[in-house]
Amino acid sequence: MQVKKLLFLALTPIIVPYKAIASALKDSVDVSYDFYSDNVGVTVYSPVMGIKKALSDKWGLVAKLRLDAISAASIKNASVKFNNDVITDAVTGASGRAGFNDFRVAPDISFIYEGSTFTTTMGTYASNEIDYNVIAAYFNVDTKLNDANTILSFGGSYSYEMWSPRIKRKMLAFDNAEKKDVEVSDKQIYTVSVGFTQLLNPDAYISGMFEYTEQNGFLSNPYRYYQGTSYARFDLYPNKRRSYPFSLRYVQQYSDKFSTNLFYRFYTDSWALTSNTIDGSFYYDILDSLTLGLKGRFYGQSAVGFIKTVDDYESGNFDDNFFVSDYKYSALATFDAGISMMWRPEFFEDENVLIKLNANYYMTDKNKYIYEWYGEKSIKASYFTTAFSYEF
Amino acid sequence: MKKIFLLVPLAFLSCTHVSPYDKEDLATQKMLAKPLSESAAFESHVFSIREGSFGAEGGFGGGCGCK
Repeated sequence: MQVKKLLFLALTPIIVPYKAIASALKDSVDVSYDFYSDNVGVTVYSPVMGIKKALSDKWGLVAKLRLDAISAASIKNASVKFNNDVITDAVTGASGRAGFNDFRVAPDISFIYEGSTFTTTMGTYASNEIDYNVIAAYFNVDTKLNDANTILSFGGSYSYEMWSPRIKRKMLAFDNAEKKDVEVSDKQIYTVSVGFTQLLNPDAYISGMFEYTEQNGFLSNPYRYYQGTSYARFDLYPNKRRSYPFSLRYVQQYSDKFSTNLFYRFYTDSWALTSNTIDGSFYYDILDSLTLGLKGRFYGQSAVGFIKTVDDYESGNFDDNFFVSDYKYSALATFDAGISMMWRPEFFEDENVLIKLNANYYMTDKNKYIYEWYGEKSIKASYFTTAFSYEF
Repeated sequence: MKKIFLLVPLAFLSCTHVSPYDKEDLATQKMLAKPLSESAAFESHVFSIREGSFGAEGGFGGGCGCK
């Protein structure tokens, strides 16, 4: 195995650690299974199947299919009066904590072209749910410079997303240019990103990315509403949002067995939401074929500028166009910890099987908006991934 | 925040040219940016549903209703 790896390295002038592009044209089959469950009644079973196929020495095809079976996807079974129209959740009779209320199918197909100094990926993605449909296209170009010690990346995507909510309602967003509410049920998302990866020495590299995203259209959740003592209102957000996140990643190996992967992201957007994310992972080879990992993540964000306090909403003490009941736009902190295992069983020929297991615990801090909606002080979740990969 | 920007050029100053035959360790699974790429995709999805910000993590995530 070691000799084969050295031979491969000698014959391959370009090894790109950031995205393992050098192996992108290898044929493989990947199967994984994701599971998510939290204390507010949401459970997701999500198998993913994928294949990679080299079409020639320069072209490759990657096809993936994700299936999500989601319980409690359509919130509470509420019956609320809005402007004298009785508006109900259409998932009649389902319990918020039982049964699969939604099913998502998400295929993703991409082509890879691997040139001598650059690699291009072009793909299309779709997602279909009973009340939400997405069609998207994306591309990415990685240019290898300086004997592949430096990689510059440029990418972009476009996504068209359409709501068909299972409740009777008029879908509105606030148009800041026209200074009035406009009726809209779709959403368009444009993303442009630039990035780099720089090898620092044979044991370390740093990478960075800046991404600009613009979202237009209906940007709130059509099921979200706040029921005060004397009124009920659906969430109403601006119809435009621009985001400016950038990130840095530093990967270092300290010995043959031990490495660290540190990640930091700063995010700011036109809704005045800013956030900081710190993520650290540690990997240790307890055997040549077995690596264990530990991960910790902290995330903190400010609230969007147009949110009011729960007390203000409760009393109706606001005169704003906007209305926000969704906790994810309030000031929030979250914590995540996980353990993982990567195992390349030696009893398979050529060690061409890779098995990965990952288990995480996630929680938010206490939040009044969470309590108002879910009746819980915070959200606590567990999620797991089991992945199996076979390279031909 | 300014300190982080100052650290970036310092990191580049300390870099040395890495020859192809010195990249063996960089090609191992645990040295990838996302060694657990399958769970990273799902994690990213969970975070984008549960948190107000997103992006700059690499890869295309795709949308969902995420009620």
